[in-house]
Amino acid sequence: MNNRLHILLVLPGVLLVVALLVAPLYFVFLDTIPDLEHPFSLYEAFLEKGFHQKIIIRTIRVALITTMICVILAYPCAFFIARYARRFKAVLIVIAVFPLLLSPVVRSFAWMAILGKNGFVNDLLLFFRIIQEPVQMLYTEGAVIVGLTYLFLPLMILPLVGVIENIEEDLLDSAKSLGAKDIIVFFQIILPLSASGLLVGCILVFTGSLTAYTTPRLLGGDQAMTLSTLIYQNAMTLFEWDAASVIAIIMITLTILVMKIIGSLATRMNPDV
Amino acid sequence: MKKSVFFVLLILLSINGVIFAKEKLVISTWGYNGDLLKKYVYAPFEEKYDVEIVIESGNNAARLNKLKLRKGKGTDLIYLVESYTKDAIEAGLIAKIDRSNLPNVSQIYQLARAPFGNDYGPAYTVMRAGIIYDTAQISDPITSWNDLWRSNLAGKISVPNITTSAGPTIVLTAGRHVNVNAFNKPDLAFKSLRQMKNNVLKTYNRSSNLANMFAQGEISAGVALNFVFSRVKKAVPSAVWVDPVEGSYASLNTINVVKGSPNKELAEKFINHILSEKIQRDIALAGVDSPVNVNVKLSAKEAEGLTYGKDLIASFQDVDWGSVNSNKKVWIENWNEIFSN
Repeated sequence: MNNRLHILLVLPGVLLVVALLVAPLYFVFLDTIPDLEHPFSLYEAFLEKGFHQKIIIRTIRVALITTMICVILAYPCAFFIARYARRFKAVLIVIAVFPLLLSPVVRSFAWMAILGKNGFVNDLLLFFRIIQEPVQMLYTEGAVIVGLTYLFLPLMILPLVGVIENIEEDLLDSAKSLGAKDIIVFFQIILPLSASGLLVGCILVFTGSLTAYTTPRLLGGDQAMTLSTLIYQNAMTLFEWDAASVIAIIMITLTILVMKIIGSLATRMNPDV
Repeated sequence: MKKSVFFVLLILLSINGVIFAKEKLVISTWGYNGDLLKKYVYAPFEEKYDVEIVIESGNNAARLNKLKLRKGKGTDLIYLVESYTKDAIEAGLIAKIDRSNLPNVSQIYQLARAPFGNDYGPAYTVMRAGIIYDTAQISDPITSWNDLWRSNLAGKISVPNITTSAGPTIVLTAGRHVNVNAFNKPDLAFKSLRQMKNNVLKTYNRSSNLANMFAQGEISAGVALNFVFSRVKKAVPSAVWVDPVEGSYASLNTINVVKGSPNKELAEKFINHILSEKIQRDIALAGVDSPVNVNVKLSAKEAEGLTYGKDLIASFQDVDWGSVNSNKKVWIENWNEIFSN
């Protein structure tokens, strides 16, 4: 009886997920199979083009670099918020989350004003005579990575704050009292014990960067075309929904693959993850 | 008692709403200048025909896509640029119009009367592609399309992306630069485009992107449709508009009745309305659209920034949008190969 009740309670949610997530994905996948004799011909046609391979590699590269930068920047922030912020913790978390509260368009235009030839960074470099004429920063892959890092950093900080808070202070003190240097404490204690938060953060940042549309479109140049911009072009300009579906399935597969890799790395750091 | 009176009133009001609800005309158009269009175009029509106009806004691609997915249902009229109009006609989404309901067509320029034949809608405005450049940054004047290949413009220009209204004309221009027709010799046209690539900092998808790039000092020159110039001029006062010596390509915006529209006759009256001398003048003076009605007379100051005048309009070169559309997929792939690599 109890089991039946559990099933009944879960059923509406499951049906909703099946109807609104699984079924649409299934139909998107079906669109990519033209016939059973050559089921993957559309994928082959897409992947054999060197230009498409470059876009896939560029998209993964941008997502991976963004994720790595977020990890490097998020650890000190998360550690400070979790350990030392005390009564300012709530304020600092709101500040950390602030980029997520802004519209992607507003955020990107702010970066345009900062990275532009007449922007703040170029003005500063010119003022200190580090450069003689403005440097092209906008409309490059670097500008996209900066924009994505700013956007997704909170998604790395928040899960890390949660796990770092739960690491016993005594454990760190014990390690230090036994002569471990700070860097050893970080790599042998903090990193393994925060692996679950790191895993969640990496998945959120990587997936978000891989599928981001507005930031690469506004801050990136033509050479920064990514899979999501290519999907838009195929669906909305060429009305080639099959090709757009192929790219969507490739993006989903890439995301699952990278999630598995990140997951296994996290398990190697801490088998309990 | 009070309750029954209340319910009777409620029922009467509902019936009144159903019986006396105004007829609705659903128009799919761009989202720009909504307030001015409401004031000068929609409101007078609503008043004259006691009808309510409902606007669906978006860019060409998004609106046409929506129309395709809904098989034309729910929309009476659609504004599109030429290439998308051709696409909509080929998809069977456009109704054949009754020209006897459009007497004002006789007052508009020949090139705007029937861009896709007498069965389909006219163009209500005309634009032209040209070059905008910042005289404060470029001392050597730009006068020709060929100047876009000048080596001293490396990384200083922007052109419309091939997926935009004016994008395909860049391929045609690249062909013309090496004296070939891009439709017949696409390889040579794209080779010529590849030579221009070094000068292109970024292609743009929205006119606001171009204005921003000028404002931020990212670019010093760009190819654009004439309506963009006023925005750029506002941001960069030293910017000037150039009609290249070889002439320009015209870009027409059309209006068509959607197939299956239950308000076809009213929709045709709307087309006739926007071609009238008064509406064309009002909208030109408001700086929204260039007039195609030959009876609209504007002073040089009033015509600033508009595509106006018989001589100018006669100098335009036709674009074969049917051929552009049939080559679109290959052209976009070639374009991506050049600019995204």
